[in-house]
Amino acid sequence: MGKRSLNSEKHMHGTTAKKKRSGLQLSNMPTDILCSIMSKLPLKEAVRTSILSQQWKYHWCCHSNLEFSFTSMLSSHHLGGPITADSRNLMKQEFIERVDAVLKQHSGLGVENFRVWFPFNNGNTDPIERWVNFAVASKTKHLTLNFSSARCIGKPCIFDLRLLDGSVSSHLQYVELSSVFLQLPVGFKGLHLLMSNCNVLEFLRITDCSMLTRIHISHPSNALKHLQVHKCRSLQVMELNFGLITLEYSGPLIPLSPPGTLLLTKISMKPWDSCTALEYIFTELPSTVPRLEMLTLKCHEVERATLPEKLPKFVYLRHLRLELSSGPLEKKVDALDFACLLVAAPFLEKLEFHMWRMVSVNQSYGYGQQLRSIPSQPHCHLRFVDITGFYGQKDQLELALHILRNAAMLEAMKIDPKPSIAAEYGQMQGPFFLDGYQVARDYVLREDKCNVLYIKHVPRKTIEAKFLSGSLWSKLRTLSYGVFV
Amino acid sequence: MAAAPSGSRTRMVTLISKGGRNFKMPEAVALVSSRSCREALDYIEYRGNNTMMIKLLDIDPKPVSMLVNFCNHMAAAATSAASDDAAQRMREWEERFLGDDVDQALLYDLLSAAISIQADGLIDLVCKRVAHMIKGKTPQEIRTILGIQDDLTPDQRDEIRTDNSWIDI
Repeated sequence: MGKRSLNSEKHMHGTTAKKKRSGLQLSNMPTDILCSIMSKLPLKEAVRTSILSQQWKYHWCCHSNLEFSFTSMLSSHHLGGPITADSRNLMKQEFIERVDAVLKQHSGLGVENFRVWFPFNNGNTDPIERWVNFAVASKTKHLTLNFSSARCIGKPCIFDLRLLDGSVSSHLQYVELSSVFLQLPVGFKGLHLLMSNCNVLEFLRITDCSMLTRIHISHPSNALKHLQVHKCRSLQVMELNFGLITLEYSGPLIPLSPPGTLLLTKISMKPWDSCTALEYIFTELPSTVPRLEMLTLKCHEVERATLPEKLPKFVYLRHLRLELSSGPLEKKVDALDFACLLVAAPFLEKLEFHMWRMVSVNQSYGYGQQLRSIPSQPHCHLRFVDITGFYGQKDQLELALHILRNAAMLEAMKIDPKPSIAAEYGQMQGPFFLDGYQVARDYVLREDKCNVLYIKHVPRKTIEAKFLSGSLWSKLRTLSYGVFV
Repeated sequence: MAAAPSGSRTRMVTLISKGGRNFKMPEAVALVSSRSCREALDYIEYRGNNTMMIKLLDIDPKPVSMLVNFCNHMAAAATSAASDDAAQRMREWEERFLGDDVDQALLYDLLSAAISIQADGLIDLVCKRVAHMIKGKTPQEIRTILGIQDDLTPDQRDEIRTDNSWIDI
């Protein structure tokens, strides 16, 4: 008995000794290693380590990810009870106090990310100014100010862009501003000053900054590579720098300038005003972005495009994604028009059509009509085609057939009857006389000589059930689908 | 493999651990993971036996061999194409590499070895592991795991609690 306990004592001693040694090892690591470990913990937990021991009091103070949001700073007990204007104010005060408490102790060094997500509004700019000054002084690389809220209460918070300049050259590489009222002095050319001093800024995202009318980033020392501008409803002019690589934009339809050539290779556009996709592609883009490699265009079409006589070519375009929604129309949009894209982009490799159409009861679908075909336009590079929202309508069918017949190098063509994009306007109303899946199987499959077609099996009733009211649907269940020759 | 100068064999990097044990890896492998090798090779001219010796004389052989193992794996992964599968495989390998059999003492020895040759990838991996060890634990639990003695006076403890009143500690 005695011997065993002696042995076990020895064993415990050994383990404790080993733990002590490893504890010392960790504490003796270089500061930047301890910082790195701390920064991998959520801020709250890192701050908690200050109570571990004397040595550990300040190890958390170089935390490199300062992310302040409702969830990270306020506790769940704030969420209980009714939310009144008073309780909102209290929460805001609490948030500000807590952020200040953290920043007061922070060393001000080694900050990589500085992010604030909180619905600020109605004045109250002092804390924001303090925090941005801290972020700039601590040489943060990523700055996010997101003041958006689900409910649009009051005026957005004012933010002076000049704060981002600092007295020394900026270290900011990534800036994201959402729902911020950008304060600009009189005669200021919107965002121009920001760009001229931020020499290493590579990424800028601006969302919902409603008073912004101009964006000028054409300063030569600009390193900006990625620009995202969303929902700035007053925007009129956007002057981009030459080195910009990707652009994402949703908002009022404005021209991309300068009219000289830009190096943009990837664009994603979602104009708010109704436009026709083909007109946009062939009239707005060509001279400005000759090196375009990938284009995503989301349009709500109201009429057929009228195109120029000679269509410009996009020799660098490899990937084109079109999200097209259209309502019930007098001048019906014709999908077969899009066949001209095969000629305009001879080196295109991937083509996507995502369609959403509002079909009304009164529309006739051309039963027994001859399928149109246009002259052969062989394409030697197209490899992947993805079509969703294939309702089986005649023009869609004609387009699919045209592509299948002309794309000699096609590796895969996917057809999905169900629409994959959401509709912005209106809702599905009428019955579906056609079953997209059946149409694809009956008419497209027989043209598939190289076995590249993949048709997703989505029965008509699945699509209908999603959109139609119960009574209307039950009446239509017995209707058969149309027949083409 | 990096192209060797004409008329010579493949250049090697040798790490020497405690007890004089040698662990070799090709120069190209070392260049992928070790910042100091990348910087040093700008200045060093190879002479004689074509190998650069790095002395890690206060580190045990096991962590040094793990370090070489890491460098070899990273160099191999760098040549294969990036994909979701490759990323998943890498994650699984990392979990096995720093598995449960790696106790803290070994972990910190490995960290010291990685620091010596500035193998940033391995440093980051070990830091992630340590953070994972203490994440979600109470202060007392963390003290037990890391072997830290609580030497704060009650006053100091109060001060910390006041400064950070928004957290329960």
